[in-house]
Amino acid sequence: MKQFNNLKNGSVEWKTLDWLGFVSQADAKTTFYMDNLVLTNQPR
Amino acid sequence: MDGQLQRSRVEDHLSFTFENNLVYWSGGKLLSGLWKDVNVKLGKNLYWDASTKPIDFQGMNFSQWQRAGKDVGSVVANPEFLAAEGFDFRLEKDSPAFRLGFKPFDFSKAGVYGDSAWIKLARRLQYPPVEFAPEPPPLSLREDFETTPVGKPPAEAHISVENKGDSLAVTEEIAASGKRSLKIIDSPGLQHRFNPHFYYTPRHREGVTRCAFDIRVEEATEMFQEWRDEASPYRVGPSFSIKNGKLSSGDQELMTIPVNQWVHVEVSAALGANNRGTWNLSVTLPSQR
Repeated sequence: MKQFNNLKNGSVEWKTLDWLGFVSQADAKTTFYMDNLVLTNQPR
Repeated sequence: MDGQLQRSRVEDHLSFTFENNLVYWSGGKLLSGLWKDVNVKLGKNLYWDASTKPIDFQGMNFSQWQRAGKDVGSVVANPEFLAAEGFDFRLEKDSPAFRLGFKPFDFSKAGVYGDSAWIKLARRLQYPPVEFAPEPPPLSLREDFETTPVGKPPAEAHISVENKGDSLAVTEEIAASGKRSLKIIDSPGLQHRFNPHFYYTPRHREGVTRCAFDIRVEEATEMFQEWRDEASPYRVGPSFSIKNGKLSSGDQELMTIPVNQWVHVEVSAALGANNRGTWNLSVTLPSQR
């Protein structure tokens, strides 16, 4: 497993998760697959 | 209701027309649900958020929204009520609502009418104080796509496809476990480079959020996963992309992703005051599972 910690947020002001998106932005005929999507929120 | 205006079912014909209205509120979203398709018509409305925060029109500002063909003849302007905070919604003489053709009416005459006994009976009714439903709990997902019919998108996700060779639907062609997975097909020449895409609205405000999934890409795959808040313009938290078999975050290339193999990805971040501007990512390759 490769672990990357303390990656920087896109914005320093970001604090809440209201939109979680997966976007395909190729300009070509191409496919990807996803499986076993899990989203959890736990008290700190 | 999540916003001032909510559109629920999207139908394959013009099913929603919203015109000649004054929409006045203080804080929170204007539009909830899906409003970008051609089967909803808005026009000649006046919108005003008394908190004076910029109004989000489905991820666009008002100019972009109108350039997309929405809300022709509408304005974002203070309607100039006499005293909205005291629920006096009569309009000042120079209200911009008049320029839209809005015809004010005497709302004090609304209600029960008839003989005096009947009106007296109605006035005896005591309304209970308004109570709003509590905020929904934070969204949790455990989606293995096994119960979604083949050819259909996941029910809880918001989907955006152009149906011009692109698609987003469950398949039994391949799976990381079980029999089914979600297949996302991109195509050249789409109107929007960001299609196809799907998203959830988790409403996570505090604590620690974790998002894990298996993904299988091709050499030509170009995708990204992003976490955003509800500000307008939105602000981005954790974000990474996969392009040409390379996983990157920002301008930092992190690692090579093998193509045509399942890879396990986990993203986690603290929210609210505990977020220090960073997030964590782990990637497990097939050889490491």
